[in-house]
Amino acid sequence: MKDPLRKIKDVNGVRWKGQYAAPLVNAELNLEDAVALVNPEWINSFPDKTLVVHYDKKHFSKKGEALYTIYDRNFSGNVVPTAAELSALNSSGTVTVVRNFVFDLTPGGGLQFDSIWLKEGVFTADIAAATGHQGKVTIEFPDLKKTGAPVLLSEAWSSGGPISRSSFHNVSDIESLDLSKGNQGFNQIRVKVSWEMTKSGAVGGSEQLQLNLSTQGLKFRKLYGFLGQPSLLNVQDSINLSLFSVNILKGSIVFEDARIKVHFNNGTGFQSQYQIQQLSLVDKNGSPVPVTAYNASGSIGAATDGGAETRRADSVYITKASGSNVAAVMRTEPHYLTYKVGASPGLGRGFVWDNSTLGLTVSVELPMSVSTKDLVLEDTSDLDLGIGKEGDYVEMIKFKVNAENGIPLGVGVQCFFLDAANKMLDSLFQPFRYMLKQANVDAGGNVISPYVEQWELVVDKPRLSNILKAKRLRTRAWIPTSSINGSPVPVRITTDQKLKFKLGAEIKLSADAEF
Amino acid sequence: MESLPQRSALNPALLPDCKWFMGFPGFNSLGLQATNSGFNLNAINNAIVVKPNGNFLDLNAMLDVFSRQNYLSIKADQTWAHFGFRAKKHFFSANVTDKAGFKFGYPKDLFRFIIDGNGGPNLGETFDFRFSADAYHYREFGLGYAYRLSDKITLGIRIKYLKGISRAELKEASLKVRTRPDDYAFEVSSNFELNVASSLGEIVTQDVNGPFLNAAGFVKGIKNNGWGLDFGAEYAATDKLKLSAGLIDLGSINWTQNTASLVSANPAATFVYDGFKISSADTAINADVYFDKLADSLSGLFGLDTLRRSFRSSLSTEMMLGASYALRKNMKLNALFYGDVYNKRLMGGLTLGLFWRPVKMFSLNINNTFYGRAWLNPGICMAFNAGAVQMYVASENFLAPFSPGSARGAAFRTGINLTFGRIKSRGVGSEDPGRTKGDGKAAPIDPTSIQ
Repeated sequence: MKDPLRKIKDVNGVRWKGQYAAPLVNAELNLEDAVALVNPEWINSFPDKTLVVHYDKKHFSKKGEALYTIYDRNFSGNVVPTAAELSALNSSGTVTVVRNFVFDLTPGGGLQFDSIWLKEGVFTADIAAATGHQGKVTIEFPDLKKTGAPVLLSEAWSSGGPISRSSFHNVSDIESLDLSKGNQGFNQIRVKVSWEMTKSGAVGGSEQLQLNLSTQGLKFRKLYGFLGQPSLLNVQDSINLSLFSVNILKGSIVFEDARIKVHFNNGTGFQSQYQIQQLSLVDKNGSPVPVTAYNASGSIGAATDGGAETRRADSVYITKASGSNVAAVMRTEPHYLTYKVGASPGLGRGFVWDNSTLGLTVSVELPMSVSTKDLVLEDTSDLDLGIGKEGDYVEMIKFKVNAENGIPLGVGVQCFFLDAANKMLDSLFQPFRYMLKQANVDAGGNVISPYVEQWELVVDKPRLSNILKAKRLRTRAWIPTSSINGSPVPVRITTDQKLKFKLGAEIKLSADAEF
Repeated sequence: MESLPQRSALNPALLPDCKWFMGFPGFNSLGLQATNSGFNLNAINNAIVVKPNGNFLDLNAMLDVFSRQNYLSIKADQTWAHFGFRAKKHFFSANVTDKAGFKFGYPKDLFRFIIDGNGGPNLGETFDFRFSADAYHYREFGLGYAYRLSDKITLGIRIKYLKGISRAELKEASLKVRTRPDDYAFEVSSNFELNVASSLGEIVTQDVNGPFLNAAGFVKGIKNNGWGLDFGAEYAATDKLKLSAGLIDLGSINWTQNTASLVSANPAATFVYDGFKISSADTAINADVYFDKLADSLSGLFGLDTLRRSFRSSLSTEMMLGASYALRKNMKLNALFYGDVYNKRLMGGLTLGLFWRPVKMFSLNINNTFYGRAWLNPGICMAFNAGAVQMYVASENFLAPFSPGSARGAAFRTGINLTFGRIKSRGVGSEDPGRTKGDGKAAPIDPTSIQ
């Protein structure tokens, strides 16, 4: 009677075998979604849905507010009543003394601003009067307008004596400044000072008003006028064509319509000129091959003034169709594109916003109208699967794949598991097989039917043991395009081509372990 | 046992050996039993691999200890009043009995899924995780009538008015999972129905001094009513051989008081999970968002509705087929096959016994019951008669305390009767004063107690 209990009490381990299966991934994607999923910066698509391998670099000129600066300025002027004005004060008890000045806003020189729309900054008027009479000073800026009316600063005092006053005016972006009324060739604004004097005692000859005007931190939202010819862009750079930098073991990949695009995006209101001073594709040995047949200089149109910032785009396309050698050179699988591009404004009046820039984008576009021939990529890296003793419990792993490939590209991957001395211990597929075979195409490279297959990959315990011992992994990939009668044809890979892929896994575990 | 009035509980045509009887008030018949159809210690013992440095438990072998569906059961009944009397060929009886019980059913598939797994040879198989549970308490007011049609045939019927006191019935709790061989996708379907009702609030009430038993509530408070019927017949094939058949607990209770039901919102719904979905419609791959959506889908599909409705629960109908053969005047061999249906499965058992009445004041029945996969369940029943007072005690699988390794259950019953007009001779015909001749019959303790 007690035997069962004793046997149970003496249990100090378990023996167990189990086999478990689970679905892992169920993907049903068209290439557009697949691209969105992976979201590589170097793939996008044309309007006709052709996928494009895309490399680019962007450059920008300084912003308008950095190109043109309104410096802080100071101005001093004295108002001294004439004898007649003093006589009028003495006789009638009041007189208004009026004086006009011009105020230099910028150092002048070659730039002539016609109008400025200000967004921030301060106008300050300091008044120091030596007078024996009650008075009031009004300072008018007839060219600085707020909602259409000139800006006024005003100070008053009730009795004579040394007078000192300061008056400030903060500008906002609704204020406009008309500089066209000053002297020709200068950036000047006009100032009108009106001093009303009311007799408060004996009228002498020492009446004087000193005026100090200054601007601090004036910043524009938009400038209009003759803005000169500052250098907007002067770029020398290169683009890494990483697709061709991978370790291609053998074979080739041909892009039928490779192209280079130099794109300008002008946010300024003046026309500019560009110069492409150098454009070369550099092979893996560093030898440049100049790109031919393109317009090395030209004009960049001005943005329109729509009341807010607008941009104008102009591009230079360099393609096989335009007579360039770019597609031919691309067959040599160059590693870099090097370029030197400059741009500067043309003569004449124009405008610029504070944030206006001239943008430059140099890009290499490789539309996926492509064929591969015996293309094999390979890479070797260190490997640590991070599986310890738990791996002993695994008897077998099986992967089951259901694939329906509507893309005219196949994928084959073989993993070679190596020891530290690069001696092969095992490989993933025995014998090798493609993970996905390419869809069937017609003579024009268009997909006519998907490739459908179900297959399994079984890794048993001896092979798993080899894999777990591996220190390095050599991955070799085959990417064939569809072929007709055994000959590859250029296939067009578009965003609406679909891939359905289901992956499930089954694992067999066995344990004979003590507690 | 033939001398006991309680035998009519299995078959209303089986009559006691007295002209009239009355159960001792409050201690008439008390029965308790507990069973486990799933495993016992011996079965677990068979799954242990003996090794020099300690034993290993073979989890896969341990699965053999389970049946496809397994049950734990506890039942109790208490008869508050029981009396009967004979009038020539007629026998009338009445009883008031409380019956309560709890059954819990669990599937072997649950353990198979965990231990053996769903892969390999189990691909394509539907694992049925079907649970059941049933807890009940009701009161039975029974009126029995038996009529001797001839010297060979006796027919009996009992009509029972039932008062349901409380019930929790997990009518359906199934989860079916199948793993598709071609892509390992899980096909899942689920169904759930739980009904509960209780009148205990009418019986146990509360005042400032705390809860107290409200006797009036037993009579007026319980509004869950039902009816039940028992049928039975006995046939004397020869002077020594008797055959009997009974069908008891046909009927149901309509539960209307304080009811609540939890039922599947989509009872026939099936869900297929074929992997982490990456689709053109939803490329914002975020595991948290994905699994939140999946959980929302599952809760929508397999969600539960709460209903306030009456429901009807059937009694656990049982059938009996019996035979007895008189070896001597005071000794008989008897056999009884019985069965009931629970969770869509017939549970049956066979009891073989020997009845012996060595003296008038003492009778003994020794039997063994075969049920499930348990072959050794010895039982004993003893009845003592001192004048009109009859005391009895019965136990099934009385070895359980001494042999826990093989025990799957045990039952116990005892009570006191007052019997009058009992026969004066022993042996053949002794059980029935209304008969001129006949043979004795062994009535085992309630065999259904084990089921």
